[in-house]
Amino acid sequence: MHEADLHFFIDSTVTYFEEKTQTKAVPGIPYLKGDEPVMLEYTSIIGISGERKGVVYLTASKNMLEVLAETVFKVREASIPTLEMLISEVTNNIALSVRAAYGSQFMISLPVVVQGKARGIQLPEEVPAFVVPMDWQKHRFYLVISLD
Amino acid sequence: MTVKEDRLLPATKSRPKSHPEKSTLKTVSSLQSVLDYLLQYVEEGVFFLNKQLTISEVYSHRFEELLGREKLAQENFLQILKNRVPDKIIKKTEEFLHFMFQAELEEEVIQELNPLTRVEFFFEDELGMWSSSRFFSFKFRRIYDQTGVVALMGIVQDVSEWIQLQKAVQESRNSIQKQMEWLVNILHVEPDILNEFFKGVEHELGYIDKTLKGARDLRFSHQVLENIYRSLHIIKGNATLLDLEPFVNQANQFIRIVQNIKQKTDLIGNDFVPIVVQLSEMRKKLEEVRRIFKQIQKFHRFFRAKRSYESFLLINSLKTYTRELSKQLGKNVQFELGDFDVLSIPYVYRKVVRDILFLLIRNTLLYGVETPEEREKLGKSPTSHLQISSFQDEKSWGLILRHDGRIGRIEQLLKEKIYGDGEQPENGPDLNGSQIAELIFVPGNISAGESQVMDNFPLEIEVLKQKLRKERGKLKISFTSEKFCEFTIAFPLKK
Repeated sequence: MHEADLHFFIDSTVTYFEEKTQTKAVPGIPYLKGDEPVMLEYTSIIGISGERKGVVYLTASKNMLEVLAETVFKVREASIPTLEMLISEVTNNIALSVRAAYGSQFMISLPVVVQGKARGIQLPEEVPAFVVPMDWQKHRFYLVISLD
Repeated sequence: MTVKEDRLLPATKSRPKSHPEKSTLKTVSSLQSVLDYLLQYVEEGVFFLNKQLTISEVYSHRFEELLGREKLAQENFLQILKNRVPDKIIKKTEEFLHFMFQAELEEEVIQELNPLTRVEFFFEDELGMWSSSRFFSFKFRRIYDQTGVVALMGIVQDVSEWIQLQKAVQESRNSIQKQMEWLVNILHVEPDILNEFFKGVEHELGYIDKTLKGARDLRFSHQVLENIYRSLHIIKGNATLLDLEPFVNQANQFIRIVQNIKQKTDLIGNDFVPIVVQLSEMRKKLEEVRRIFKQIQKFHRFFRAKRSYESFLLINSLKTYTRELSKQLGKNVQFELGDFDVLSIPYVYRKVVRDILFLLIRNTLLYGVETPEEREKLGKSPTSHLQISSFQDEKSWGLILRHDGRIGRIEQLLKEKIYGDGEQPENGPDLNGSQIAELIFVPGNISAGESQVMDNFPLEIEVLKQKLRKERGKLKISFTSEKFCEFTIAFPLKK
């Protein structure tokens, strides 16, 4: 994976938050994912296939998504389907940016949302995964990118 | 669908002589059976497309099997490709198939535009994620009638095994190429030493990993960079000593990246992206060479360089180390070999002698040798001299490291503290590392260059003592008033 790829995913996420909430998401220091799972309460996963293969997912806490729902949808005490839809929308936006930037050589799946921290996500074995911690309004969430 | 109505099937030309109606029916019925049989058992996926690119009712069973779907009749072929192959390929396929229906265009020429000659087909799981893929080869042929091209016959084959075989052959070629390149670079190093080097690199990369993971607060990002920088220098230093050029180059590249980032005042998370990408590259390289090393380990000993070359390498490493460390500390040190017979080092002690020499040189350069300015003030030449020699008798083999550095200060202090007015015991000083460090560390008198490298001194002395203890070696420190300081280490010669 190239630096440009990582920058691209990070910038797409930062742009989403800035545009939708007028508050920046601040990327922390990225690191290589080890065996430990990086998952909070809600995770939205997109698969990438075609000339390059990989997985990108965003994982966030329920608290953060509730605050985000209030900001974006003006909804208080959002229901679980709303929270799932919200996290799905964030990753979908990232996916659209990827498609726009990388063109039709990629296939991008629709986001799949999972709940709970029980298990980690199966990532491609030979491909390193990069974890980018991000902070938005004192909430920490993670963007995990594994792309060959 | 019958033979008479279906224009997609070839018309029957021959007619039997007797009972024409019955015979025709029988022939048609036989042909139908043959067709059914063919479509059931043929190994390729056979199908037919009309001008709207819709799949006909007639297709082989294998076609369903390959696509992993049933009831394909009347489905649009391009829709079937959607989400299985990239959009770019679907678009090209549409153009290609439309060209195929234009009879005025030569079929052979258009075939070259077929984007599905070899295509990776992705299959989704129940969650909609691509869980597997196969490589298919699609070929198309025109079917004519009086009006022109009326349909296309498509044939699809699963060529995954062939593609995988090709890939395996290519990977094998690349792997052999890499192995050859690595062999040239690592064969001169003894396997045990190489193993230790790998462990060292793994340790430092693990430390960098941990540093990045644990960095929660960007306010301390400069400290994070310093820690990473130090680890990289350790890797580079060790690689330089062993003359492992690929690692030296990679470490240099990484160091340059860190240096560039260090220039910035306000660091943000994004600034660390090049670091984490480089880290991943270095890990990959380490894994690669370790894999290759494991494969060749059995044969490594047979292809090792001659002892004379190994000896040359040791001396060269010591010289390089002395030169580089002196430069880092701002000191002028001349390394002299003296009567040092590298080839006389007993085989069992080669590794520990090597380690001890590096430790002693480091200790000397850090604490024993003055800067040129200090030496001039003391009326000495600005260049210090560091000499190593060896000796051997019936009972022992030993080495001597001698320098004309900071006499009357550190070693004098050391001597007084350790021995007082008495004779020094044969086994050498019996202080732990921190006590020695206390004696010689004079706050405020350590230069910036020295402080960077002296953090591990107590540990180094402990390491030295442990190594000696393990081999039943002995250490003796000699002083004279003004002229030199000498470290003598002797190892018993085993019977």
